[in-house]
Amino acid sequence: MQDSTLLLIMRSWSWNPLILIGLGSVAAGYAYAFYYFWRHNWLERLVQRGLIRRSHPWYFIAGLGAIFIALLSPVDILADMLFLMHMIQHILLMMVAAPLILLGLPAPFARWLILETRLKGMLTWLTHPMIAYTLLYANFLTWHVPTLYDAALRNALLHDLEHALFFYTALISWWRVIDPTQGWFPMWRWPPARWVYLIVNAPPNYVLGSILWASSSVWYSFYLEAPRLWDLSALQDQRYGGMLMWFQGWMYIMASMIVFFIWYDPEREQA
Amino acid sequence: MASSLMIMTWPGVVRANGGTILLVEEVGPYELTVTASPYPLQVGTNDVNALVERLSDQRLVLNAQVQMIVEPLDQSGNPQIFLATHDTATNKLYYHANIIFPTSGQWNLTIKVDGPEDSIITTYKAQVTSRQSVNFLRYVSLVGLPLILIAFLFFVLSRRARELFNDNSESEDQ
Repeated sequence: MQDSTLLLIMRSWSWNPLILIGLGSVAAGYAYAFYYFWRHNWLERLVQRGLIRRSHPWYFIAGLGAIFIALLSPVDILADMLFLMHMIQHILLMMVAAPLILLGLPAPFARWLILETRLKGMLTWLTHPMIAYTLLYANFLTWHVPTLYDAALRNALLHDLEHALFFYTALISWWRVIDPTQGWFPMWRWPPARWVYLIVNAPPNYVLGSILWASSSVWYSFYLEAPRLWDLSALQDQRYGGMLMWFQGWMYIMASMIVFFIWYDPEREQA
Repeated sequence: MASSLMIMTWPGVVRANGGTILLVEEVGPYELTVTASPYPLQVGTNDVNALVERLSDQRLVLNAQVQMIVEPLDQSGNPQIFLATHDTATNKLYYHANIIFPTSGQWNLTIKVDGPEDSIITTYKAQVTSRQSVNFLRYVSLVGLPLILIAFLFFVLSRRARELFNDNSESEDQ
C-alpha cells in the first residue's frame, strides 16, 4: 500500500454534524447527571453502596468513542468503498458500542431514566431474550439481502436507518445480558442463561459469513462499481467481509466465556 | 436542537464523500471514476469528485493535477475552470471541487487530468436541473437524533432525581 494512500485515508473524516451534536449531547448529559448527583451529596452514598463505580464513565466514553470511530472516522469513508470495512463498522456498532454503553450506565441512572420515560413495560417485552434475538437477526439478515444492502449504500437516509437499527437492536439484545438496572430485567431463572444466550448468538454470524465467504459471485453490485483499493477484487473483499462475520460470531463465544467465568460461582451452586 | 435544525436546512452544505457515479472510464493509462452529489446535478453548488487509478497496476494516482471545466453545451457562455484537490474532499483519495452551474440545461463537464504518466481528458454531458428545495430528510441522522433525545433525558433525570432521591431518603429515615 502506498504511504501517501494511507496518509490520505487517515485524513478522511466525515464530520456529520448531527452525529457530532448527538454524541456531544449524550456525553454532556451524562456528565451533568454525575455533576448533579455530586452537588447534592448523593454520589458518595451511591458509590459506597456499589451502585456507581469508577469504571462506569470509562465504559460509557469508550462506547461513545466506538460510535464516533464507526460513523465519523476513515472507517466510514472506506465503508463506501470496501465491504470488509463496512463489516468493521457494523461490528463496532453492535459488538463494541452497544455493550460498552450499557456497561457504562449506572443502575440509578438506568432506573430513573426508565421510570421517567415510563418505558419499563415496553422494555420488558422488547428485551425478552426470544424477542430481542429475533429482532436482532431479522434486522441483521434483512439488511444483508442484496437489494436492500445496495439500496442503503446508494441512499444516505436508508444507510442511516440501517446503522441506527443495527445499533438499537444490538442494545436491546445486550440489555438482559448486562442488565444496567441490576435486577429489573433478569434473564431466565436458570444460572447458565446468559452464557447460553450468548452462545446461540454466534451461529447466524457464522452461517452468513460462510455463505459470503464461499460464494463465487459478488452479492452486492455496489462494490462492483466502486473503485478498488489495495489490489482487492470485489470478490476477495466479500470473502474477507465474510471472515469478519466469523470474527463477530467468535466475539459472542468469547463474551459467553467471560460471563461464565465471572458470573458462574460453583460455591453458590453447591449451597 | 436549534443548531441541529439550522444545520438541517442550511442551503449549500454539501458533503464531498462520493455521491452518485457519473462515469467510470478508461482513458489512456488511467481509469477515471467521477461522482457527484446531488444527483441529478442542480443549479448552484455541486460536489464533484474524481478518482484516478493507474490501469497497469490498479494503484491510485494521488499526485495529479485535476481540473474540471464546465461549459454550456451550446457554447453560449465562457468555460469555467475549477481546480480539484484532495484538501476539500471528505474522502481524501478523491480530487474534489465544488462546481457551480449558474443555469439549468445541458452542460459539458470536462475532466482534465495531468498525471505523471500522461495527460488525459474526458467529457460528460450533464443535464443540470433547477435547484430543488432542500430535502431535509437527507440531512437527518437517525443515529444523531435519538442520541440528542437521550441527552435530553439525562438532563430531565437530573432534575427529577432530586425529588425521587429525597422521597427515598425520607422513607429510609422513617
